[in-house]
Amino acid sequence: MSILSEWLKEIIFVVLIAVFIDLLLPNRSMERYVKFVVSLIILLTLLSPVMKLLSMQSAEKLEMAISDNISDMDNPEMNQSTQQILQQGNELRRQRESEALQWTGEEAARQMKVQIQDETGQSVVRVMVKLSTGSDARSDKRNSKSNASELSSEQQLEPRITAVEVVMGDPSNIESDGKTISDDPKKVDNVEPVENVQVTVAIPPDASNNSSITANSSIKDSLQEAKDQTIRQIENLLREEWGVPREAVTVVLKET
Amino acid sequence: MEMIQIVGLGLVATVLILVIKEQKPIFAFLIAASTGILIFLYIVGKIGGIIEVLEQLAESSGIQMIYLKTILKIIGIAYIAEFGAQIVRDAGQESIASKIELAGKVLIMVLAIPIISIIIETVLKLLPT
Repeated sequence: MSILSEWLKEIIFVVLIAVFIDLLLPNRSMERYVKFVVSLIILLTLLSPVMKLLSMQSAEKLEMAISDNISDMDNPEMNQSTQQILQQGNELRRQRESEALQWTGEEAARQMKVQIQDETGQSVVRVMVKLSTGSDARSDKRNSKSNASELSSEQQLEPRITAVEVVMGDPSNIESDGKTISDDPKKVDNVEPVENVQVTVAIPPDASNNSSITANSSIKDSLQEAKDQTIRQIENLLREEWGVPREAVTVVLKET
Repeated sequence: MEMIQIVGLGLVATVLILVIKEQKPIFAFLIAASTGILIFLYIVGKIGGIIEVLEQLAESSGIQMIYLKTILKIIGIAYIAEFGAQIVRDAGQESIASKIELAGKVLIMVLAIPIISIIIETVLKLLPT
């Protein structure tokens, strides 16, 4: 019953509006055309129960067709506003991502600090972790693509560690580990203080001083070796536990 | 009162045009066009009120807004085409005036095309295949 009354109401209103339009029309020359279109609309209204029966969304279809054809004038504005909204959404999402990244970095840094302290037995002043999802590099591409939602969220939510900076504290209580030293032949190349020793020996002002210098340098040497070993240890730890490439790790040892 | 204002404006413009027509026909045309535009602008506000009421009625009665939109678009096209055609006709360019009217008719028919296609589709679905 309510469907019937709605139908009747619709018909009555459309006919009323049509009569009103007829009065509003400026001249006779347009009248035939306007009457034609208005009669088509009345026919559509009369047919609406049939259309519902056939499950055709006539009004939506009509709206789509007309907005496709006619309202080219106000479309650019609409497009612009949607683009603005999309841009704002993108910015918001990027902001949120960066916040999440920052938080993840801090958390990872804290865990790394604990692990490094456990592994090397040294005090770690601070650990800085730089993360990137890779979305920064693709952001230009994403902007050019109008459909931002095509990007899979899986790719976005996969942060990679790009750089780790470890600042170590007092290196005096380094535990020496012979295995790692002998394992790595590169280590020997890295030891610079040997040259230092040669330089100091090259200018011997005093014979008695000489031996003390060499002793000093040997201490330095062992210290440096221990430092290098610590660095390597940290790098290995980070690579194994976190999958950080060796180039990304920066270890700063504070001199005491 | 408004009607008197509009009629007075029209009478003044007519007298001016009659006076000036002998010497400068182009100014007579300009006065006619500007008077027409003034009256049109004066009336546009009233038409806006009528359309607002119609929209409210349609909303409260729950008919499809797209019908009303289509009808209002038709009225707008008819009015603007008529207005332009009359101004051009006043200047003596009958052919251009008829072209403007033709354009208005074509645009009205373009509005009718989606409605026709929907009706035809319905009829085709109703027919047994």
